[in-house]
Amino acid sequence: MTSQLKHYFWPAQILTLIALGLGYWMTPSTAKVSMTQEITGAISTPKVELPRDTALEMTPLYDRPEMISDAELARVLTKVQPRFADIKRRPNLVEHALRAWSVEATFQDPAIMSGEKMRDFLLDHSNYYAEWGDETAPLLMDRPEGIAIRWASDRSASVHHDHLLACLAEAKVPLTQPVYAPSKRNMTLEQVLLESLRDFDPDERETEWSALAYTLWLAPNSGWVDGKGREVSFDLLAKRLIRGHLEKGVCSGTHRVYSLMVMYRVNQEYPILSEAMAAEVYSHLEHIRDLISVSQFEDGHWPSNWGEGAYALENPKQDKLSSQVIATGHHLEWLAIAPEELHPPKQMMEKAADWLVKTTDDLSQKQVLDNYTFFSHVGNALALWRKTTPSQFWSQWETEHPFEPAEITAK
Amino acid sequence: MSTTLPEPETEAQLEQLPEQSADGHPKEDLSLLEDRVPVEFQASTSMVAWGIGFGLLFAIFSYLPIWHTDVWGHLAYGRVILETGRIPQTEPLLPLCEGVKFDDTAWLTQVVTALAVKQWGVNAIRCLFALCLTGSLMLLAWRFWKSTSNHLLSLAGTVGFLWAGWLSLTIQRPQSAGLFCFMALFCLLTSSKRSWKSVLLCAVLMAFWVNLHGSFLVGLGLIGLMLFGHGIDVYFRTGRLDAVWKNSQLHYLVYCLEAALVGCLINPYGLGIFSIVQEISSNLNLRDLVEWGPITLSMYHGKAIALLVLLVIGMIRFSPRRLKIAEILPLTIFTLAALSSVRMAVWCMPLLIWFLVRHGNALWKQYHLSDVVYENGERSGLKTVVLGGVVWIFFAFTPFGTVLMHGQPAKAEMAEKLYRKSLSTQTPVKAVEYLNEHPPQGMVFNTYEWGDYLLWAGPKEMQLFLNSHAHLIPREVWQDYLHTVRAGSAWADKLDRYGIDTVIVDYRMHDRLIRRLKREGLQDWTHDYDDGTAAIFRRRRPVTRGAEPPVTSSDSSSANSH
Repeated sequence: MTSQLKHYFWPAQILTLIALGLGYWMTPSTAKVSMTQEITGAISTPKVELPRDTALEMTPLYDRPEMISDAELARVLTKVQPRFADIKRRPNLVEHALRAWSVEATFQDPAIMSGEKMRDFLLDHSNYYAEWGDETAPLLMDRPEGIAIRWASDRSASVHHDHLLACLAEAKVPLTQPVYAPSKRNMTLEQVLLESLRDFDPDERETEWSALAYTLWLAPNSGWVDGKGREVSFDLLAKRLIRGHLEKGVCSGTHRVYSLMVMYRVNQEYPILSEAMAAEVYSHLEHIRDLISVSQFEDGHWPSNWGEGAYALENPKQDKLSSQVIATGHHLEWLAIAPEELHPPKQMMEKAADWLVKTTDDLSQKQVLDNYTFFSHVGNALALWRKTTPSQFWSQWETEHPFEPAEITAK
Repeated sequence: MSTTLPEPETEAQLEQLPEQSADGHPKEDLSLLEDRVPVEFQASTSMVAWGIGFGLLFAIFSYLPIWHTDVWGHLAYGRVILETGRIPQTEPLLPLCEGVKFDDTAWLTQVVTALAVKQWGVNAIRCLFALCLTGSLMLLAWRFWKSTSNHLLSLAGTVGFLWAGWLSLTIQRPQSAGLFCFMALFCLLTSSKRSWKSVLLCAVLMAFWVNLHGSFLVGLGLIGLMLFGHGIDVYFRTGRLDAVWKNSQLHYLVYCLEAALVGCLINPYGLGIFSIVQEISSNLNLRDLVEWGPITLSMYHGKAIALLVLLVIGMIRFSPRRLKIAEILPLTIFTLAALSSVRMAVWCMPLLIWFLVRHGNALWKQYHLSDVVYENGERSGLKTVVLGGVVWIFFAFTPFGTVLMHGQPAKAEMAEKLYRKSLSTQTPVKAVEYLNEHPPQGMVFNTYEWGDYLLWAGPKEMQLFLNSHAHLIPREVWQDYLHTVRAGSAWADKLDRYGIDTVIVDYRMHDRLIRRLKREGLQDWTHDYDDGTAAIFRRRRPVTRGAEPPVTSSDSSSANSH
């Protein structure tokens, strides 16, 4: 073979190269991507088109003055204004306020953060740094391909994964909004969204806010491929939101219901769910309607174990007031954007609204601020039942009832 | 051999002479049978002896119970491929793995095994496995013998490999097919016959291997290391680079490597297969598994490798044979790889033993030990017939042979008995029967080891937590699984969060979770089933809507015993 070997060496090399070239040409594109990633160590970008700059808006469906009057709403909203001391403001509180009041919010009282100020506190590291300094890690984290949001249980972080992103979506902050991280100064909110898509894991504990943000920004895309090559779809997200004990999610499981409701509503305009999944989501929401229809207490509040239905009433739990506010406020919020077929009896919702107004009235401004996150949902829910938003309502209210500095000092 | 006959000296001798024909040539003795078997098919005594040995091994391997882990998962995936006619792009069977990229590096093994099982039942798995393992040992023995002509050392080497690798070798899995390919490749590379046919065979072999099991990279590594080592050997010997360039064996190895590379491209993922294997082997979940972790001396494999390495070191000290980088380099790299991962152990063992056998033979010759071990005896067709008979007898006595010849048992009871006998004692056969009779609704929390069998034999709609294809399980799910199965503090919360309505756990490895479920979980769970091997619990108030209400029972004693 020796002579043959010498004779055919170069032709053999050419044949091998041709075979390798053919092999590469015939390699499926998905395999090519993972191969390139392995070789270059590059991080893959989720393959999804961003069809809009500003997220979809969940328009409220009902105007029920008999449920909540203008005066009652104004009283509640006065207490849930973002009146935060301008030192070491907690991102979690600002996020909740921004979500409820939106980026359009303006207040005649200069002590209250406007929507734009809240947005800038969250999306410009210099503002955050001015309050928190070196004491803690930045809220906006530089990543090789984008910007991630630091979330943790400490006061200086965003508390839930993608909560900030979902709040920005609901607050109507556009994807072109500049974002200033500690070292990256030329980014926009779009990079934050893409980083979130890259980073997202459908199996993580809390998917409520990721699902909400993606629904509002990505529809009509029904799915995408994440950074690990996994095919993620809204069907999968809906399954994750449905599974497990109902009250196991954040805020007694009510955020999952809200996100599912948003998905269902968006799906009616943009089919992001398969027909079977849409039916399953609807059936799940019907089930929740049935459970809350039999678990409301006489005074109008829902308990934290509302998921147990009538059993929750028969075996009352020693809920703290905040837990009752959470359950009642959040339920009223998703019901405000739900079709009537998914409502419990009207009287129940009226009782719930009454209870919320009374409870808010009974608490001082400080007590409400101490539980701000929960009460921000109350304010938003009650505004939605008047077919408006807190910022729109307040803007109108202040034209008719201008701000007087003495008002605040008196309280 | 003499060609002339001795002259007859006595009358008696004269009478015994064959009759002569008219032209003086001896007449043919029609009373004697002529050996009409072609010479190349005639067997020697030693071949018959080896045949008996391998026949016996084949029979023994055929009787090994089917292991209760990943083989069933492979079958389940094979079944999916057969049903759909294509390899799924995302994981098709586990709800928690929905959307996860499914890169199937063993699709051919899965399909072949699923087809065989469909045709002949589960004993086909044992037969295919026995064929692969016996074939691997035969190739190894043949290579030893071709290199040394020493039966005793060849036998010792083969037995040594079987002993050292026993734990890894005796589990039925696609790796057995990979092992056969490895042995065949090893024979091709170490053979003194170097031809284009061998190069072509190398490509064909790798084309099969790449579709049979992800271990094909080991083969490429072996060729590459031998090539590199041989290049260094030639350079050290001659001191000239052009000698390296002109060396024919080096050319042969280059061709083999290129042919192997080209062969590897014939798979559903093309060139992407390399990154797929890399992705799988670097998956973080695998680090939690013993067989992907480093070898320790407390392990059987660890002790075996330690002993072999010690013998190799001793052999290096005493062997009169010159050491070659081409044999030391692959051996060293493979052994180091084995130290970092238990799964690599089975690939380094043949190289260690190959080294021992070759250098052992050199020592044998140096000390002029017995020459009997080199003798083969006369070849004859009769011995071929004996060899064939022996092989047939051994085959006929295997469970698969029995089914092939006599068909499946007519009585269902007997078939059931045979089925159970063919599975390892840890296989949850009875528990699965129970689940088939009482199909669970909603998610089922199962152990990693049993996920595969449950997938294969359990109710079709059962939603399992995971199976032993750990690299497919999302990291978060995997960590939650480990926490729960080890009965960590948040076990109940995890079961709630995943909406688990049924738990099936084994006593052997996870009795702690069973104890906690019995002790702390009885408010929420009923102990539905127990057979001493498996325990099944069901949630009293199912998370899944529409789930069947559990069988009422107030304590663990109410479990159905089987």
